[in-house]
Amino acid sequence: MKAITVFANPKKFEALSQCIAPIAFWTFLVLSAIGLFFALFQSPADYQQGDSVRIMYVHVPAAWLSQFAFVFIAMMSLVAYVWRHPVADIVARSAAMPGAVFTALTIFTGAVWGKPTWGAPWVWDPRLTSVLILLFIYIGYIAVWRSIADTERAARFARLVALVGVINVPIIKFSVDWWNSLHQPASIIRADGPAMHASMLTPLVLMWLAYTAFFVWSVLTGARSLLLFNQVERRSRHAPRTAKITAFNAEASS
Amino acid sequence: MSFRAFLSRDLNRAFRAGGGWFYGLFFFALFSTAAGLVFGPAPTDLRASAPAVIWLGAAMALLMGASDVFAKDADSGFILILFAESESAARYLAAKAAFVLIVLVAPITLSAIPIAVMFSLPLIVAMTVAALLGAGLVGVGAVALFSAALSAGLRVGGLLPVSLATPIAAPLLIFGSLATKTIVEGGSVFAPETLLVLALACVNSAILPPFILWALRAGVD
Amino acid sequence: MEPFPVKYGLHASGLAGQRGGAPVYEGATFDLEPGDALQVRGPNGAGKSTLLMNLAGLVPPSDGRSSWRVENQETAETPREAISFMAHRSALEPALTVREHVSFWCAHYRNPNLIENQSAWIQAVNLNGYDDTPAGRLSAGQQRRLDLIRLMIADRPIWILDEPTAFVDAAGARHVEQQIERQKQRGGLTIVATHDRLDIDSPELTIG
Repeated sequence: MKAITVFANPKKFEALSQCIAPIAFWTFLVLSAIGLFFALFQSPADYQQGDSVRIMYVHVPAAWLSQFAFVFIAMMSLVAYVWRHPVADIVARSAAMPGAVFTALTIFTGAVWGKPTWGAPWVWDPRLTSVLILLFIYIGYIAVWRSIADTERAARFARLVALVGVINVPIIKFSVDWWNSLHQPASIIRADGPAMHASMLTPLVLMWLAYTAFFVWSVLTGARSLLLFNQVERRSRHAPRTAKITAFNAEASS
Repeated sequence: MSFRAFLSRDLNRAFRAGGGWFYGLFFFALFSTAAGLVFGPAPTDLRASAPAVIWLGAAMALLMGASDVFAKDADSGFILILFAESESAARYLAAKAAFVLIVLVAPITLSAIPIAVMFSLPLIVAMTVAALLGAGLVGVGAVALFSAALSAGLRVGGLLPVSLATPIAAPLLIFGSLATKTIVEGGSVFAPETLLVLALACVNSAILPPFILWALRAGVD
Repeated sequence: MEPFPVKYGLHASGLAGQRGGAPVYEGATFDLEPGDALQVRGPNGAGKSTLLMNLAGLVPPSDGRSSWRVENQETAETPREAISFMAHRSALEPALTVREHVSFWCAHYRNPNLIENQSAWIQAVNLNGYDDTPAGRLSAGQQRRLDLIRLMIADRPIWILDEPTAFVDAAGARHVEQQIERQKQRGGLTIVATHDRLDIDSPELTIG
């Protein structure tokens, strides 16, 4: 509940983000540097895939974040819908762009990795296909925010699209899984099997933490600039008019 | 009572001059003809392309044909009055669903029979394919209504609402064309993919109505 | 002229509303008993329509509260089935004729004894001769009159009207005033946002 009250109060949120955003940014820089060092020099090459397996350290954490960001958007949308907390809408909105970037990065690195591994940059694998559709849902979500100037109104539809999307993505994933099991034998080598050596796990976890820090920084700075924009807009508004009741008798005056 | 009033009002409007009830059907016919020309006259090519053409064409015709079913009522303020005066929004939605079934789903389904025949399928197979398509289109129709409600609320026509809704219809398209392929190749009519089409149509029709009402309500201000 | 079987009251205190995130009016405080009417007046953009939407429960107010009473019992719910709402746009379907609108409303509001009186209603708002004209071809004032028939057919005790006399000529405005007076006498409740002062016995809520 405590976390929720932060979303109710723009001032508290602003103070919090001012304190956390720089920490998150530096965490991202440091951890990604260390993570990449481990990924490139301290982890073994795969006996089948060779050095191309190192793409995994950029690809897998991005895939995690792309899904996490959407679940986060949906949760914030639910908070905004149920408790009418204005900051929750803004946080959800500013998570969309980094989420979409992670999704695009997942697809791009997947294609780069897929070329040597599968022999083709794109296969209609359930994971890839549902990630691609996730990217389309992100684009739609961002387009909804941009298509309506009235943010109050835009927020109502953005929440709806986010919640429908979060129900939809698992259904699509399940469907493509089924589709594949019906008509294509599973022949794809997966790098993330259960038996993963510690030398591979370390850079993976480091990169995941770095991406998460980037996500936190990106959401906080995005939300802050949106809040600032709202404040500027509010200053340019007219003061509300006061309503006064007057007992007016039409017959007496005429 | 209100259900019948809503439905006959919509039917009246659709079958009037300029009502355009047949545009969805018209689009489907044109799309399939164009696809037939693109794939060429060889019967094996046509038969191979038929499932994809029929499902994609029918789904697009339905999504686009239904895209403005709420727009006029939103513009005129009729939906505002509906929410202000009563709890009959659910009946209104039911009437719209019936309207879409009568004006779009039924004619598109029937026209799939001659189109399948034109794609070199025997008549009995064509009829089976159309029956399956009709069942699937019930689920696509729910998606189309969701898209139309977004379109009315966002006050944008055209591609954005359809693009937002298309991912929801994706599983139906996947299994619809797959099941059709099975039928075309002489497989069982009750293959698992066929049952999945029926299941997905039910799931869509059950899950989407609250979201459609939500979208309509969100558009009121 | 029979009185309404159920009587409604409305209380608002410190009500404030916003449109598109921007506050428009504040401090609306009043109390309406059955048989009362209220004129909401103010310049364009003052928030008259927003106030009506807040009272009808379509858009939540940004501050303050309003509550309905049913037979002197306060309710948390908006008594939707008792409300007739007239929006600033006439909720008409351009392709349908005047008569088709009337029969649609008779079916929608379940007022079967009115179906035979269709011509009488059309005459009452001075639209006789336009029975078979599509609503889209009527003038703005005539469309407003046609929307007024809807209120009569619905026959509901609470009227929330947004500019019912916009585009309407003097005779039409008088007709609106008569209908509101009649509503008052039957113990109904009327809240009307209007640019021109209506000649009815009611307090005024002036925004601005």
